[in-house]
Amino acid sequence: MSTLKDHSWEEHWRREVDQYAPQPSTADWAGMHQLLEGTSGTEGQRTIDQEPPTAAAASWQAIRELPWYQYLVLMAAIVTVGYWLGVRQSGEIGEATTEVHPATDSLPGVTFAPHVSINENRTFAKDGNRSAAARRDTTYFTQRVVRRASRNFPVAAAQARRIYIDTTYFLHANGNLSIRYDTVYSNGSTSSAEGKTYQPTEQPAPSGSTTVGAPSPAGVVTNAPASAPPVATDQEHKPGQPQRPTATGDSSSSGVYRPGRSPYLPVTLSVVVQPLPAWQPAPGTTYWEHRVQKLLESGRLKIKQTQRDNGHFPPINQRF
Amino acid sequence: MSFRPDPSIVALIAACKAGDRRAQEAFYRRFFPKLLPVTLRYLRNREEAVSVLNHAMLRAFQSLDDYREEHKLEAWLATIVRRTTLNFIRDEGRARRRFQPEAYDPPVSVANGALDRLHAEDIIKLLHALPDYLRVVFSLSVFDGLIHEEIAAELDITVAASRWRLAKARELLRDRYTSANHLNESLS
Repeated sequence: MSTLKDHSWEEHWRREVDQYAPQPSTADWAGMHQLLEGTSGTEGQRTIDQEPPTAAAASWQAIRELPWYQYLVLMAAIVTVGYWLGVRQSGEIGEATTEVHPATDSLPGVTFAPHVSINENRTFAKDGNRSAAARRDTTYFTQRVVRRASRNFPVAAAQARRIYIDTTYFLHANGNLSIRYDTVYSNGSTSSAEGKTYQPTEQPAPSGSTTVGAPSPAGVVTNAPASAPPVATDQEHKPGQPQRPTATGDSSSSGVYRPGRSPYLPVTLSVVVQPLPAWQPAPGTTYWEHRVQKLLESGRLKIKQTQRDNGHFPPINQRF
Repeated sequence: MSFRPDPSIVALIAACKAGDRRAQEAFYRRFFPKLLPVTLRYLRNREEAVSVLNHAMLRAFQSLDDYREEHKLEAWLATIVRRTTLNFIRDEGRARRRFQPEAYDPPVSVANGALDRLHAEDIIKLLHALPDYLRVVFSLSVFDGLIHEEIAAELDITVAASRWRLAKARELLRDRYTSANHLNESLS
């Protein structure tokens, strides 16, 4: 090796490498044998017959092979059966609404300020919540309370019309409870969602009127006919057709037409006002503390313990 | 000019085509010494070289039907092995950036002698001490006799890069041989 341009050693290297003949070891052939075994598997192959289709698969295949007109008839039949089932189910639900008892509220003991108008009320039930069976809930209020319940009363099956009974409870500052019934005849429109400005036509509970915080005797019947005369409409109505089985008395309620709502029609029905459950706060306990305690006891509210050290940083339940 | 193959080779090829394992083993053991140096001078170590050689031999077994007897079998096999080796390097290089310069300075111990008197095993050792991107260019140029244009086309690099890599490989081989030689002299 004399200079950088002297590459004679490369020729020697070429000859040496060409003459180099390393012998294969057993491991070398083992690797080659494994490679050959992995690629040659033709003798182990065989044809596997396809399994016959199951009954469901065969049926589906038959449906897919139907001509278009038979397919159309099949789809029409399916839609018809589905519609019939839906109507049948809807009828059952409609019947069930007549069996629903009036919703019961829990009224906390509230002392009204003298300047508060006793007839001032709030409406908490939304229009459209007429399926009391599905939407009945218990609402607790911390101020003067009015519960307006709406129920469905199918007038006649053939007419497919319904009478909505809006019941309004007025809680007076003196503890008396008065009830107002609004009878709304709905012709199917949903315009009743508008116009919440009521002219209360209240009637005080005649006897044993419910007092806040003190349950009244069970079965207090309040008959509250509306004072306003019925508004003549072109809608037909058969008074008293749906009768509550638990009725203990009859009452008639005349509807008052109000802008934005459907025409009102008189309807005869009896309503049982169930006593309101009393709540007497423990000394030093606020209403919400009592409420939380009840929810905890019923299991509807659960306190989730946070885990500070759960293997994540930050802890997973502390991230948000 | 036609080439007349050895009758024993013809019989061996026929048996290999029929899938005879013993014939394939004989075939493998017969050509392994000639083919392994082809992969050894391109790849990093013997294990990698044997693995690539096995894959090349598998391709050869699968392609024996395409072999024409007028060609020299050894050259035909060497071509397959070299193509398989370069494909392996190219595929691996795409993933590892094999041809990028990298720090690679393993200790080398070769016999005490001049560069033009080294034995094959020491030559292989020095080659394995080279970075991959230099070793491949050096092997293609020195052992396979490719010109820089062919090397550039083979490795998908520029001609200037091929020239630079060859010069760099020669320089490194001299340096490594010199340092190893000095080390051997100091130890002896």
